Amino acid sequence: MYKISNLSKSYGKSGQPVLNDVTLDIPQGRIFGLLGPNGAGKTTLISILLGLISKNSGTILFKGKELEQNLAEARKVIGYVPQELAYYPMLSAHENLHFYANAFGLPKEKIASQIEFCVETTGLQQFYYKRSQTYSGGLKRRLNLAIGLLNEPELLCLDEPTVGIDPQSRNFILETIQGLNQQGITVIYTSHYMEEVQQICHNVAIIDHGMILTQGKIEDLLRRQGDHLLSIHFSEVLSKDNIQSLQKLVTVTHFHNRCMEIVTQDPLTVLTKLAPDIQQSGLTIERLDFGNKNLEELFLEVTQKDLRDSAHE
Amino acid sequence: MNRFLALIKKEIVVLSKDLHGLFVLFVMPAIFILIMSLAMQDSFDEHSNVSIEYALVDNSNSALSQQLKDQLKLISALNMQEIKQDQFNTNQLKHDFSQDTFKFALILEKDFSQQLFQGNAEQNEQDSAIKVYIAPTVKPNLRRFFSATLRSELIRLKIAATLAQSDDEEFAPSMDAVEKMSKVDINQAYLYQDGMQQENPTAVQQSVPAWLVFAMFFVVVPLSTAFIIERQQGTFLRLRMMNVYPTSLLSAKIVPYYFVNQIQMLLMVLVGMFIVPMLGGNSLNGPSSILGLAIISSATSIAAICFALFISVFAKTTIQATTLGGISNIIFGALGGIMVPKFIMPTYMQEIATVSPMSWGLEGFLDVFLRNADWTSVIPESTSLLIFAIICLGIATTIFNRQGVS
Repeated sequence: MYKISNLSKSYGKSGQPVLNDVTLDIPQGRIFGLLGPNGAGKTTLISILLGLISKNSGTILFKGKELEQNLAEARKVIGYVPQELAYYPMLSAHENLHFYANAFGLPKEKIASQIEFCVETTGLQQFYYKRSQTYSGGLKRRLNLAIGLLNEPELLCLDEPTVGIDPQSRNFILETIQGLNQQGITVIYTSHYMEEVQQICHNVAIIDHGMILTQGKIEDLLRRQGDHLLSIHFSEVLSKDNIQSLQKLVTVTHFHNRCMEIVTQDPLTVLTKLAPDIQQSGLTIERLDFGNKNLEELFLEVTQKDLRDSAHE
Repeated sequence: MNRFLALIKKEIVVLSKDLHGLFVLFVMPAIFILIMSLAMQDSFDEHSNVSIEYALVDNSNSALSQQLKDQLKLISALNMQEIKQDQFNTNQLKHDFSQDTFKFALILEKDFSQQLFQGNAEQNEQDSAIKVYIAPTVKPNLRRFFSATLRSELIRLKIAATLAQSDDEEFAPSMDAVEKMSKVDINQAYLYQDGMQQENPTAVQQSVPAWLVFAMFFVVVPLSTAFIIERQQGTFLRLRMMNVYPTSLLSAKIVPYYFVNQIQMLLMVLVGMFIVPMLGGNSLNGPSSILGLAIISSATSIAAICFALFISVFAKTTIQATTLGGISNIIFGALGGIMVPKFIMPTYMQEIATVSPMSWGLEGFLDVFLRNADWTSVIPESTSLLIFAIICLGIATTIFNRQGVS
């Protein structure tokens, strides 16, 4: 859907790049997750892809055509759901949807059916005529999504669509997005919730300091990074002596306070090797984890940051 | 539906559901006009109930001092309270002045009658038989009024007394005869553009145009607040993504707020015509030219809205917008003769006042409400207002385009 090559963008006189030589492929018909800590360049990248700000250099092809030259056309098939609740709280869902449908320039004969589709998809029927400022957090997010669907988008761009809502509403929205994707809509999804991204996205890109650190299918990335990871969680904090003696037996990837991580395809052999030494040291194993890395672990490894902490920077 | 019409319709619906906004736009100015018209009624009324309280101490106790007191008592604008000589002291007077019991104290000394005929031999004000103490809060025009009234009564008294002393019987008139002799008729009339009229301009005739202009410019508060909230909520961003351009977003605000201003104008005029008289005030006379009123009202409205749009794009937060918009309006109002009539300003301030768009609006409204002018009289003010509007809108559009929408 999008082919981005060598995209760069900098602001102000300092010329500090916000995006630096970004090359990215957003495949059609997939759910594409864009991850990155705050200040990584996510918003700038999305804004350029939506034509809201201009780039300094590079090329962006949307459906095979240069985006800048076909911006108005591109916007006709892009549905945008911003993080903010971008509608009029004084108005009902009915009034908001009719206003946006008209502002978008939908043909008169199509307005009713398209609004009906949006309302049904997002489950707003019961609340259709109520003033939207009275809605719960989940309903507000659903109305925000419904407006993004008014133009029958081929591409839906969602910026943190599940912020501040309860698990049921979150699940409803995630299922709705998956359902829309199954109908052929390409989705660009940004979120701080890694488990959501891992749950619904097919492809991801991780961006930091304006550069794409990694991109591809989620399962490929996790497999490539992790193979098989054995995590041993102890009840006690490991001493220097403990670490030195354990390191002599196996190749340890990481030591944390009470945890050691070992990349291996044969966890039984590793545990057999370690067991006598652990017993002799008086350490107690509290928990064992074995399997692929999850997305959050991948993210931390790639960015060296905790995403949720960085949100408060 | 046309996109632009959809934006206008949305604006009207949102506005109609905003009770606070409607209160600010319609009810507050109406109440304001009501209060100002009633409060200022006496200052425009020749038969005003307002009277100036003053103390009189008669140390002379003569026939002439009694005569003066009788004359002064007949002046409705002055309310005398006589204080006996043994009860009067300056400390008590200071206290009375501080309590606003009196504005003046008139002291007639023992040699009042003698000095009235012979004058002050010492030629020294300190030794004058007539002393006036003035409260510090008294404004110069009130002091001049009191002084002129007192002088006038003293002259009349002196003429009467002088003639009464004459041996010639022909010149021994009564006070009534002096009254007749000293009476000089002056035919006073306000000169309007459509001719002379005996009727005085009333408080409501003066206040409605002034506060109407002020109210119209106050659209800056609801408009800029709504604008900034829309920007912060991302609705502009969303509309931008729907290929709605910044110029359309700004222009769509003009139409609904134009109608708001026209309804404001109609409401204020109706308040002046019907509600103020019901509460004992004077009635507002209708405009001399409906077309003139429509032109100046439209021009003022467009200027006010474009100024509000300029503030909206310039301010980053609603607090900034309301502060900036509110203070600008108050400065425009103070400069433009809304709060302080221009005619009492010093010359240089009157010249500065001409830079305020509220002054142009006010002059235009005064043309049709007070000067009985025809529609052509409001063209210069309307042109100035429209030029101001174009400049504001031009700057607002440029900034808004550069800002993008976020």
